Formats: sequence, C-alpha cells, structure tokens
Amino acid sequence: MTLKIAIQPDEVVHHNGKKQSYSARWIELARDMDVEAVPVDVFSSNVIDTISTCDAFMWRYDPSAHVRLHANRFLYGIGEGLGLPVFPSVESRWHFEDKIGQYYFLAAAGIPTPATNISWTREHAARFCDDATYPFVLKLATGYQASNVRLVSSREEALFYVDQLFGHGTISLGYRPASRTRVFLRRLRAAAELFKGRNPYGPTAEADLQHGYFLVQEFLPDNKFDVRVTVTGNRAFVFRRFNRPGDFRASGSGNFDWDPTQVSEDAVRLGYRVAQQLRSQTVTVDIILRQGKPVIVELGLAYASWCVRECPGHWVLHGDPESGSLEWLEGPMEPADAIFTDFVAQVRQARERRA
Amino acid sequence: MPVFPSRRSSWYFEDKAGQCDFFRAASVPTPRTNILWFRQQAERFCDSAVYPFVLKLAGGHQSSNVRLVRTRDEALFYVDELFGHGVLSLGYRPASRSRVLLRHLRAAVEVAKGHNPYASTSESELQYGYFYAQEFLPYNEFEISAIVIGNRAFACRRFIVPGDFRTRGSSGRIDWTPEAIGDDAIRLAFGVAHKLRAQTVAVDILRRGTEPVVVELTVNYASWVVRACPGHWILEGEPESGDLAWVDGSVRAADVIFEDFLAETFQSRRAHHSAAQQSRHLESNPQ
Repeated sequence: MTLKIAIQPDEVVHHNGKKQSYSARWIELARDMDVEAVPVDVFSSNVIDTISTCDAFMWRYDPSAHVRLHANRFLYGIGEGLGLPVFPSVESRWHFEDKIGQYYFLAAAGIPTPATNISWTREHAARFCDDATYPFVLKLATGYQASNVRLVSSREEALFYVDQLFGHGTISLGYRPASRTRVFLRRLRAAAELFKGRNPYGPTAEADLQHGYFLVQEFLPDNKFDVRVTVTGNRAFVFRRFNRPGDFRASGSGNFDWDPTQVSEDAVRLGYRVAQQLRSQTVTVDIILRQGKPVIVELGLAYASWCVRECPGHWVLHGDPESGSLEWLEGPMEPADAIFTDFVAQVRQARERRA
Repeated sequence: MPVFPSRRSSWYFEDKAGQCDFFRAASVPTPRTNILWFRQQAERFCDSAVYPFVLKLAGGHQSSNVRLVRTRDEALFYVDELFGHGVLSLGYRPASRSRVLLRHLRAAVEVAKGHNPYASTSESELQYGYFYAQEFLPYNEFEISAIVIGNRAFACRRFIVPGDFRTRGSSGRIDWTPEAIGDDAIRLAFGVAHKLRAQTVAVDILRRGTEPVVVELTVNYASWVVRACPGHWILEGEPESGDLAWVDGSVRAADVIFEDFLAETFQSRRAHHSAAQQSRHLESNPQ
C-alpha cells in the first residue's frame, strides 16, 4: 500500500554557492518507492490537518534559531500528538545546537570528550577564571559559526566574556575585550539602537540570546584537523576538516580531505557508538585527539549534503560498534538517499505494527 | 535510566506554542489559537482579528504574561514589542508617542551603563519573534486546574480576580469542592495526560459554552493545592469511557509521584536484568 509522507521544503544555498535540497531529492525518490510525497508549509494554519492524513512527516531544518526553535516544538507536537514517525526523531534532534546537553549526554554515556567545565552563576564563573589553565576554549551552547567559539588566553579576557554572558547576554562571541573607552563607545552605539526600539543584544532569526552560563572546554593544541563522522543508520561517511590558517578551529575552513585511509577505525567506531547510544536516525560526530585517543567535541544534525556526497565510499557496520565488522562500500552516496531509505523502512514498520 | 520529570512530562513546560501544536495534533479541544511567526503575518492578523483577544507569551507563568487586547492599535503595539526588542513580560501598556520615547530613552541609559533591560534574567527568558493570540472566552468566572498523577486526578477551581479575566494562579481565591468540577473536565485532563504519557501534568481548563477546553499545561504546580484537595479521582480504563472512582482523603503530591516513580524504576530495572540475562543466554547458546 502506498505510504503518504508529508515533507517540508528545505532549499538552501551554502556560502560556497552549492545548492541543496533534501526535500526535492526525497520527493524524487518517493516516486520509485511507492510513496506519495505531500509537500506542506509548516507556517500555514492548516498544516496539522494535512499532516494528519499522512503516515509520517519529514523536515530537514536549518540551525538558525527562529526555524530551529519552531521545528523542535512542531516536530514534538506532531510526533506526540499524532503519534506519527517524524524525521528528525526526538532522539536525533534533542542535542542539536545544544553543546551543554551534548556534554551531559556524552559524560553520562561514558564517551570521551575534552575536559569540560560549565559555570551557572557569575560567582562560580569568576572563581573558575581565577584558577583556570589558559588558554581554554570558550563556547556558546548554540551556534554553528566559528564566532561562537573562542580561544581565551588570559583571565582579563575570560572575565570580559563572563561579564557579557552574565550581563546583557550575547548572540555571538564576536566582540573582543577592548579598552574602557571602546567598551563605552560600544555601549553608546547599543544605547542608540535601543532608543530606536531595537534590542542590540536581542536574538535574531539566525541566533538566539545566550545568557547565564559559561561553557569552557580544555584546549587540545596538537590537532591540525578534526574528523567528521556522519552516521546514518549503519552507514558511516568520513572526512577530515583542516583548521583555518593560524586558527584552532576547523569548522567553516572549507579545507577538507575525503581520503578514508586517513581516518582511524577507532574514530569510525566512536561515531557509531554515539549514534547507537543516541538511537539517532542520523548524526555528525566531530572528533579530535587527546593524548592520541579520539575525543568528541561536538554533535550535529543539519549537515551540508555536498560534504558527505564527496566521500568516495562509506563504511557499513555489521554488529556492535565496538566489535562488529566494518565493511567498506565503494562509491558516493547522497545523504538524502540514505536518510529517506531508512525512514521509509521505519514508517512501513510502524504502519505494520499499527495494523 | 528513568528520570523525573521524564521528557514526555516536561517537553512542553513553559512553551505554550509547543502545547498548541500538540493540542491540534492530538485533537484536544482548546480556545481558537493563532500563532504568527512573522511581523507581516501578525500585522495582517491584527487587521482582521476579532477583538478582544487574549495575547500570551509562550513562556512565563505570571499573569503579566497574558493580556486582553481590545483594539488594533493595542495589538500593533505588542507586535512592535515582540518583533522589535523582545520582552520579558507584557507589563508595558501602549502609551503616547512621547511616553514610548521616554521608555526607550530609559532603556538606552540602562544599556549605556552596561545593563540591558531586554535581556533574559534568571527568572524569565526574552520572548521574541512570535505573536500568540487566543480567542477570549467570556463568562468563565473560574478556571479548573486538574492535576493528574498516574491514574489519579486532583482538581480545584481558581476564581478570576474581580474586574479582570485572569486568575491569580495559586495565590487567588480557590475552591476545592469536587462536585463543582464536572466529570467531563476530569476526563479531559486524563485524556491529555494519557496522550502525553506524562508522569504528572496540571491541565488548566475553561469552558467554551458548556464544552471544557484546555488553555495550558504545566508540570511545576504548587503542591499545597493538591494537598488541600479533600480527595481525588482514580481512573480505571480509558479516559473517555473508564470508571471514575472518588477516593476520600488528602494526599501529598510528592508522595504519589515518588510512589509511581519507584514502581517505574523497579520495572525498568527488571526489564534491564531480563534483557541482560537473555543476551548472556544467547551468547552461551548461539543456536
């Protein structure tokens, strides 16, 4: 029997000009898989009525705040209220753009990470800065851009960010410590904005306001790249992202290497372990080394499809992440295809169970 | 491992927009609700809205987060706030141009001193980028608060403040007479808890004509309100058709939550042990 899957369109143009649409590909694939794709508009008032006539719902949403926050609650409403399978499932998305939640999960699951400290009060953060080992990496809990991660080299610099995060809040770590006059000038500019009725520190469609915490991670200096493992079902796609010149961050560098022989098996297995523990449909796992052992710095969900498509092949895991056999399958694969194939199987299974 | 509150019991907490999507998807009756996600959409809504309507912040449990909006001008003032600098509460009312300028000036001075009056605090989160409007249901002198814990329901009526349309939560006039609640409201609350699969949930109910409708859910209710109930209902079976039995006597919310949670934890441990046993058995007998 034909399945009906509601799909939210998700066209994106990346900074490098590459166009991407998971939804367009899913609609294309649906024709050959006995699936009726029903495009919907999540911002329309009758969208839930439309989805309620379907067997499942898919939305590959962006990390930008306005859309992500809406998507999260909307997917919960659909998943719990209609009892339909959704992509991404709650297991796949709860950690998205929440580095604090990710840290608690990884620590509880016994998965190695760089040493991490989270302060929840200004006093605690200030005390931490007194005794910290510098430099350390300061992160915002959300934010996928490099401006949300800073290498903090001194106590003064650290206290500047404590002031921001426990003061007016911030949407990025873009501002750097500056002289007293310059700080005052910034405030004057902000005051002029507020006088016009705009909140200079307010959230935007892109980024939500970060406030009331101080998330610090140990700096691991000898990493020239990170390894990104993208796990979808039992497949793993791997590549390396090299740091930007003179920087410690790999995210957004655009300098990638897809040679699978350069990625160690323990990194691949660690990626699988995280995906299995999360029970996620798909997840990206960013890995660096700490004393020669892989540790996880971040998890992600809304990855760019072209990076995965460039992989010359992928791993398939048979069995457990720790002991199962890893098979290499030659040839590129669209991540949208892997996600859709798995999801359709999941929906068919759910429908059979209901029947 | 089991946690309290579970994800199912807490995901909607302080998120009325999420609750609204859930109610629609689960066919839970509610007042008519419009959530506008873009300024232009909100402005268009204000042009054709039926006044008065109730404007709510998605987060916030205080009555200053709910307003009865009577005119288009008033509505547009809040559109400006919610799609402009954002707000922590709906405390400010529309005012003359000079007064609004004065407010902006005060805020600007605060910012120059290094404080942002529109930043999240430990008490409230900045609300921004949406407009949540709900149909006003007049003639409700009280709202019913039905608190479900497992298969038990506790209920009271919270009366509105004279001259207002809002209650004062658990600090206003409250009545615990069970006969005044109505089985339909109790069954509705059980239905919501059942659909959520929540360990506990407080369901606020108004009437639209005679039909009970849900206005809000919360997980963080005041325990003394439950303790003051002279008894509670026990549901045997489905929320719509199951038997409702009244049990006399006061109960502490913390006690029954803990009792249910221990049972859940024991069950989870048993399931865990039997899965481990099964896997050991399979390892030693691979056929």
